[in-house]
Amino acid sequence: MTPIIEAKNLTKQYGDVVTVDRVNFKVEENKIYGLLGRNGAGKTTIMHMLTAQQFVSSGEIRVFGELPFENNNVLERICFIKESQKYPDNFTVRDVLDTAADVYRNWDRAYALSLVEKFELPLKRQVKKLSRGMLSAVGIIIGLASRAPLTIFDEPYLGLDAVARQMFYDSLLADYAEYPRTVLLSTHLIDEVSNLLEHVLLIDGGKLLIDEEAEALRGRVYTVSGPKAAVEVFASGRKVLDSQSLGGMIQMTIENGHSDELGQDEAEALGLSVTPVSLQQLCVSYMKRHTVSNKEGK
Amino acid sequence: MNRISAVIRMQLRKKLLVFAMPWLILGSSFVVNLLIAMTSPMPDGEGFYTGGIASIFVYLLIQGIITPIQTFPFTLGLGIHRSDYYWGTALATTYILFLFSLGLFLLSIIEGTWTDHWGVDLHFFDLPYWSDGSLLNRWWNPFALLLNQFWLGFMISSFFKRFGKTGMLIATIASIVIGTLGLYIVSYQNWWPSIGEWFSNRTMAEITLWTLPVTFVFAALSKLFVRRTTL
Amino acid sequence: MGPSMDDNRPIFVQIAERIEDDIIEGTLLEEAQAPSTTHIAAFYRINPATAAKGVNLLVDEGILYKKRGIGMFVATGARQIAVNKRKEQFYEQYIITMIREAQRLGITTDQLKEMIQKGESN
Repeated sequence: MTPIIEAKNLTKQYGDVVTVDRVNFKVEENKIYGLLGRNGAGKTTIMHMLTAQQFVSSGEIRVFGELPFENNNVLERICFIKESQKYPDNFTVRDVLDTAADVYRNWDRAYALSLVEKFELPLKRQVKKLSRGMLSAVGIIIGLASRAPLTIFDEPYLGLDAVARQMFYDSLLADYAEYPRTVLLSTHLIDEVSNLLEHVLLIDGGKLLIDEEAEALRGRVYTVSGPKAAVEVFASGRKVLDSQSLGGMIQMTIENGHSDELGQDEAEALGLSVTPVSLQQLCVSYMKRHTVSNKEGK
Repeated sequence: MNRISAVIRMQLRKKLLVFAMPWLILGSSFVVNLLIAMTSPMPDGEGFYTGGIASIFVYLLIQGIITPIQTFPFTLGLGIHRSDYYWGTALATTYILFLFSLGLFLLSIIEGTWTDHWGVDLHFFDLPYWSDGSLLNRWWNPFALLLNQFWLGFMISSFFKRFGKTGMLIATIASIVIGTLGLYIVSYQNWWPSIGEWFSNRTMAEITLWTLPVTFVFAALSKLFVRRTTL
Repeated sequence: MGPSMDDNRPIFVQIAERIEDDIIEGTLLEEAQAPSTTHIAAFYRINPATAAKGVNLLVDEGILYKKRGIGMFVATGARQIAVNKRKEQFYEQYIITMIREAQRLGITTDQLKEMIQKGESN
């Protein structure tokens, strides 16, 4: 089956600055993907290229098996919600939703209105007079009610409080369960979404660091702490992502070599203290290591 | 739903702003002129001539500039093709301007034929030269000129979106240089009399017909700029 | 996120365990309908595919079975299967660990038995 998205050596360059560097990945149908990474890591550029809002410098990106530029076959099946989306100044919330209803084939008007109520959006208010959080809610409603086969959310929650964000995650899960589709969720609030994701793509400095099933990442990385000598003996021959020492004690972040290896058990048997690492911490230690190796390379 | 029609519906969504605003401006200019004509009539036979009608053309120039700024990023964000945006906007604008020119046509007939210049010899919609010739000219002249102004504005704006501040600066300087050079050559070669003669030998309808290829070039360039514009 | 998940192990395993808990405790009876993956996903705030994976794990073990077009049901004998599985885990997790620690501290098997009896009477 054709992947929903396929990036081959995808590169974006502005003069000498490379913001996306030979990235390869595939996105399969009806899964929720997390596109994770710091601000400026290249996430937004990738999403702009796959929606043809920016041009590819080299390599290619195919969406639904086709090149997206000026391709209605592709664009009609995508809904891309981004934090920086602009709306016409004089448009009210209702105008924006009516326009979206004209554009998206699977638009569900009743569902959109139920979300408007849920997020307490004033339909008659001009979009430019909305608070930051309400503006985010407009994007979230469009993204959910469009039911587009490929729905992309780029940091869609700016200005939303924890309760409203939870409402977004819950609505996304419920609607996704009923109307499966491919979702690409770009975020830096990794802990909040880690359980929603089926697959994780981690981008740092324009490079793809992780491309894996979220479940496979669980338990792969952990921290071991204890007396320096003992931890170092345990760590030798293992992949150490990060280490911090305090006096005679040391804490190391360690990655298991292959999927069935359980370094945690061995460490515990050695009397070392083991703590699991969340997806967010895992991403942070990957990015830290990437930054360090970049500096060493230069 | 077809995406071109989605763009058309979007461009026409703010009915009050799209249809009423320019007429409100034109209307207030008209009312001021009418009041002046009523309170301080000109000496016999002179008549009260005003260029207030120009406001709607200036409005359309500004509308042309504002349109891509306001609606293009929105439609691009909704995943609408650049060319669907372009054609939808072009069709919506043609429709709006057709109605506007029809309005100007009617008003010029009301003014010139039915009300005898509102009884106060005010020439606001029915102007010499502008309204000369066939009755159809009273529709055609404003239609062609409104289109011309809109696309001039749209082209400038989409050029700016495509090439940014630097591009805009270069283009401005270039057009000033070329314009000055052109004027200099015309003066140097002493072409002014023949140019004047050319214009005076043409009716307004002929001149507005000549704006058509120019408008077409504006529109074609706009398409080119929009096609290569990113966010 | 929802009722919290342990970061160290795959979520689907934890989901399977929670359903087993309900079966062992009797809140979910044999031949009763099990919660749907959609419900599980919404309740625990997890990806529905992950919830489905947890449910399928129990199907493979004969604890749940699928009625076409209706949903998942608890199999007859499911409680016994789950209890047996837990007994094995209990042996691995507690007994082995306990014996290892006892050996380290020099506790004999008899002393261990005594300690267990003492613990029970408390």
